[in-house]
Amino acid sequence: MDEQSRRDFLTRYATLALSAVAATGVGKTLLSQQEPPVALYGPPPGPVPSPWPRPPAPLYGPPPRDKGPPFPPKALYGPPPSDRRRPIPTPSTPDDAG
Amino acid sequence: MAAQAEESAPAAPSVGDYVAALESFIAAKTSARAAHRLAYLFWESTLRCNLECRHCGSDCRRDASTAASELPADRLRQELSDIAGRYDPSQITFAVIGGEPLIRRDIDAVGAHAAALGFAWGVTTNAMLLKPARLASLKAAGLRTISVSLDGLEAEHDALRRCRGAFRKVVAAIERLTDDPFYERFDVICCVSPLNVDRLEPFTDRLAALGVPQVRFTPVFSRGRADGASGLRLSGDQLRRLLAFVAGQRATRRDIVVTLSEEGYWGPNWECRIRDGLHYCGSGVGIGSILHDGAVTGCPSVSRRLVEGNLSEASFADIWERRFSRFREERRALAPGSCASCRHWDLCEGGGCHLFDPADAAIETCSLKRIGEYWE
Repeated sequence: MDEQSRRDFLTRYATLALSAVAATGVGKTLLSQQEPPVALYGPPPGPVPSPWPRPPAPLYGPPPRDKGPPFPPKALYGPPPSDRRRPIPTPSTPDDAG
Repeated sequence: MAAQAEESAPAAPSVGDYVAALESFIAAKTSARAAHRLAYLFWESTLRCNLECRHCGSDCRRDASTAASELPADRLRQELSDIAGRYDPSQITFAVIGGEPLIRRDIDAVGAHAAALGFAWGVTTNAMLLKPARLASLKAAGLRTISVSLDGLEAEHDALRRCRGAFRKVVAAIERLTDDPFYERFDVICCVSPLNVDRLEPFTDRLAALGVPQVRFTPVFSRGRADGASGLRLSGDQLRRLLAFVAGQRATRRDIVVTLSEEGYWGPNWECRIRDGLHYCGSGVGIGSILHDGAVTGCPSVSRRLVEGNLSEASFADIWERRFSRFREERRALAPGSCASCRHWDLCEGGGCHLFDPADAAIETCSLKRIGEYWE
């Protein structure tokens, strides 16, 4: 795929993604519920800074959640990655806990 | 109030903003492959299980035939010490799974060792053995993150797990967990099949009422006992209902976080509406695994044909650094032939390494084709 084709593909993807969100009617539902503005309108648009950028959140989508590390691994069936917002607990009996 | 809120709302993202973000995302994935910084280390502690679920991807059984091949706890401790000496353990989640990991009493001591080294450690369990004494032991061992498997309300869960009374035991365990939130993160993983796909809303309501902070839905895929003949894979219509359900719940619910797992790439109509970001499979890039017999691979859900080495011949870190090109630079060669020229590749990358080499080679693994939303 040449560079122009790649750009055309991404442009079509972006157009479809934004249309899909606009067509959901979710914003209207939330407006009627008088949610606080942050929940109504989601985060500011535009790319999230590096190193692990995400596309702009969907219009009217839920606010972003604090994910902690910049590269959240996503593993099927594994427990959630630690968000490291809390101090590391020290095991009371490291070698005898089992 | 709505009008005031509307005035203060940021402008909608433009197509150009979105394209720039997609470009950044693709570039970040390229950087991640080059850096292959280990962020998540699985240990498949055993293939033994106290259940014989209809949809088990590992084909686990109640018998002890695989016990002799299990890696001893001391070997794991040694390996964790080596990994901690080569990487920053505070940036790595050590995830203990099975089989059913709580069958092994010594995982608590391994977890305690991991915690003492600085890893954040966690466990995925069917919760049948998560009774007060065991929970206290895990807490003492510094457990920080936990996932509990629950596949629907009582009738669906007990049918899939082939165990009457299983649902009630899991709910009791969940109540213990929500009564004492000593951990950092907790969620419920629900495998979605034709048995439960149309009962997800009351199930989610039940989880929210129990105080579960997050539920992760995973469509059953073809692995182990869940092959194409199992009847447990969702049809295209059922998949679309699942996607719509997750997107709708995420847009409206505030009492529980609802998300779809990384099972597949679902295209522009759904990505970012069903998860926090775009689809990303980090298997072999940031996610590595030590299987029950010491084999090393990307994540435990991938085909055993994608094993990259074994602890009997080299350390995990050596294997992680010297091999894994199939998961990184050469991933496209592993993917189905139809991926070779697909324009979605940069965003999809085959939909996840666990979809390569399915149990039934005749089944369709392209998520977009399955839901009838493929386009070029």
